[in-house]
Amino acid sequence: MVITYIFSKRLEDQFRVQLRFRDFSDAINRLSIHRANLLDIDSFIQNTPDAQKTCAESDILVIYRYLYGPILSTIQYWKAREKKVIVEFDQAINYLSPELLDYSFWIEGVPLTDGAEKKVENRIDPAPLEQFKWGLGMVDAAIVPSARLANDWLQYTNIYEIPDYINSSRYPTLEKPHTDQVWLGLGQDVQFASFKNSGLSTAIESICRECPQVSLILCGQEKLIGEGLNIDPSQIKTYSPNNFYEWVNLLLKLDIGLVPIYGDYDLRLSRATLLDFMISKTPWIVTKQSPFASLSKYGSLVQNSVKAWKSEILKVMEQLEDFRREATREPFLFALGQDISVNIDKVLLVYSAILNQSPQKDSK
Amino acid sequence: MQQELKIRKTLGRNYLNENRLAEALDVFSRILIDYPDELETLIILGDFYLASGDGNTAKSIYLRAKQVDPNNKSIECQIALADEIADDGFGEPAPTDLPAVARLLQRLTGNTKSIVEDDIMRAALLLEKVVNSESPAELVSEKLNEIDELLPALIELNIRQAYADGHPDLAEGLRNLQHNIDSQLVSMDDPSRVGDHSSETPHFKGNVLMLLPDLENRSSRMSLLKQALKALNCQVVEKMEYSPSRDTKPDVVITSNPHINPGLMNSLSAISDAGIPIILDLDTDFELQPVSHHEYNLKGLGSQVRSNVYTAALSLAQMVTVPSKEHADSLKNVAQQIRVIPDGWSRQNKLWEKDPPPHATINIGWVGTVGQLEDLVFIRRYIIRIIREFPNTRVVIIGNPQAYRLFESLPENRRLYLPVVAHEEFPYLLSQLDVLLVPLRNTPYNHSLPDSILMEAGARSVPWIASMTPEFRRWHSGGILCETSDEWHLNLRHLVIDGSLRYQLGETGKHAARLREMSELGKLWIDVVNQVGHARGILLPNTESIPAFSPMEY
Repeated sequence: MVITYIFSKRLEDQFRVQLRFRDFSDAINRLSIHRANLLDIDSFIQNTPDAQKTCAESDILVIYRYLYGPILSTIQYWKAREKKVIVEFDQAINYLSPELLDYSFWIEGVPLTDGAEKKVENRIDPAPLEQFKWGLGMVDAAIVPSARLANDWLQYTNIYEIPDYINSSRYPTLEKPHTDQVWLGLGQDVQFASFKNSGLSTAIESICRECPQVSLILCGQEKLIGEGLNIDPSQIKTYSPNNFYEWVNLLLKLDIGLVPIYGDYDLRLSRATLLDFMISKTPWIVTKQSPFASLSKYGSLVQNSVKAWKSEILKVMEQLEDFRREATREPFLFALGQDISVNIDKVLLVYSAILNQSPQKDSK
Repeated sequence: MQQELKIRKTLGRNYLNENRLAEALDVFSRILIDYPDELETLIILGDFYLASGDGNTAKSIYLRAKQVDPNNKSIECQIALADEIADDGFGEPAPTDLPAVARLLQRLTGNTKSIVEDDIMRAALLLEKVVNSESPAELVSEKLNEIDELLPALIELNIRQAYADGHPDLAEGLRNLQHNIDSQLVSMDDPSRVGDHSSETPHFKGNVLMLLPDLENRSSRMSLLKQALKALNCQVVEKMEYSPSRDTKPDVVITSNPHINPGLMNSLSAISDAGIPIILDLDTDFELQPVSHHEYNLKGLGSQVRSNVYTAALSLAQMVTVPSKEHADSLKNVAQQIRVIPDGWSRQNKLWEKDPPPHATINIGWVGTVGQLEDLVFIRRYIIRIIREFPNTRVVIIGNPQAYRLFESLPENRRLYLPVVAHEEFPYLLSQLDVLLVPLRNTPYNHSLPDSILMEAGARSVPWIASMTPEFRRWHSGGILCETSDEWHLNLRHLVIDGSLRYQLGETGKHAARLREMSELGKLWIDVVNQVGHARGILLPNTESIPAFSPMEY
């Protein structure tokens, strides 16, 4: 089986591309039974000679998220040549709210510009969300990392769930460099609205006022969060990781990881953030919501209220050594078991199923 | 039930009109099996037997018809005619049985090799020898010529065996195969069939310059033409401009829709000054194209410049080629010579003949590049009604997002949007459909449209339902034409219910589309090139002249 991953080069997508495409691809190639290639979306659309050769040799094309515009015609091109086409997506784009980053693209059709100022006048019509739904009708299957997401899109195509796995070798052991401070950090996919509406932001403001040794670490969210917080600026540290490795380096320095879940969009998030915390032996607290119920024994769960968040964070801070010790045991072992190399067979099993799938009956 | 009968009779009559006796006989004999008292069919089948010289069988059928309608005077006349030749009749005991129908067909066509019992016996003996041989492959190899000769008898033998074994479906499938072989034998023996140019080998093998408005986005018609000319050993060059001082002088120039790129006018003037014959190909009637048409801004005659180039090109061209007769008629007073060369398809594109992708629903499709939104609107409610009535159906809209939105009231899994693709992948899009709908309003532009989409559906074995436009009526193979809006619903419903009718229509369309394969159409183009080039003496001496206005009849 030859699988080609068609990835986005957009900076904002690199974390997911690393997790789901590059790591999967590496793991497949390590097996030496099957082969995986990586191809960027632009070359795929332009059908460059290299892209043509790569896709022609493939059995399966896995496209990252962006089913709109000329990608749809390119899908038809390759389906006509008997390639199985899969879309891989992780965002609940049908639950995006205006304050979320990608709302303007998926819902309003404002083109993606990779950091540059967005030109509102050249809107994509129909909006990418609508085209995405068309695209789901064309592909052979979609793969998502969460059960709710799978359930949402079941009526559009064959949906398979492959949970997020990690590449444990990318997380080196690192001593926390700040012995007299407590660094509180958010998961990399936490949205501003969730941070606010869950009560977590108020809880942290209160804790920072009471405990000057506490710092809030903002990673890529500083533009949205920094301005509205009533926290002494010396207690906020902001980082803008440009790649996965920089994010991991920051992650290893956190003392407590926080994941507020609020609203329908968050309910469809994958477990990647929690795996990050667990593999870096960081104690974590997450909103008590069903997506992560199965992981509850590896961390702390709280109801969404200022009081609950504050109380739980203070509790972990007070017993930080105990929680750290605990984080090096079961949660860390669990995370090790979620290494992509250990689980790549499960991924390949899904690809095989898609390769061999046929409709229930042929009407012709 | 009556509607189903009506459709089957319409189908049978259409076959008759196209002189496709095998298919017509098949349809009418099956109607009589299902409706033994169907008057019109009894009379038609009686007429068949009468025409074949089997007065006895004809009379027995007419007598059945008379029982149904005792006061019908015309049946009495037919009985009298049958009486006159009754002595020569064969007297089929069961005139609707397949063997009887096969014998009737053989007598009617006269061109096919009749299967006699002796041959069937020889076939049986041969088969037995092969089966019992120690080296069957060797024996088959030795007897190839005999097998070839006995092929119809071998199939007949298998048909009888299938009936005897209680497999009527298999028997009917084999019967269709037998009919197809018969049809092919007839067409091989009939040089008057359109597209059979075996006796008139084209001779032009010169240099053709294809002067096109856009080399990046050349039309399907021009792409196929280029392939076909090359296959016929012409030297073909495509350009967007021609300079007499720089470029090699071609023998003939074919230009397509030059008004789209007014810059071509200078080249056309230079070509005309150099005495090089020009063939102007127009792929639609731009004079009738409505302002609301999706291609009007890109290709229409909306600007003075385009309009001027269009007129000038018509006057410079020695020959104008168009894909529809209606279009040709509208130009006959403004062009020197006009030929109708319909659109075709090329076997070189493997997607035309590839197995369709399997799908679990009956896909009812509409192609946005053919009609306009307004054309679809008037049948929208029938499509929605059918989709709601039959849970195994799905509407498929190709290339028009606005049209797709007309079906937003349907659940997501009951509708599918497919984007416009390159010409090369179009057969793949078509292959995802089980029924193609081509509604066209009663407008002058729609009436000028060629039959291309129905021909393409045929090439992909996709049955269609379409409006009754002049070109569609002429094509009328592989689908059903509708005159009233009610017929849209009834015909669509019937096609959804009846899988065998879909298959049968698909095969009919495929059969008809064979004549539009580019190896055939390329010869028509060569004829045109020969005609315009004749004055320059670039053709071999035995090239026949062609009448000034001779639209092809299909």
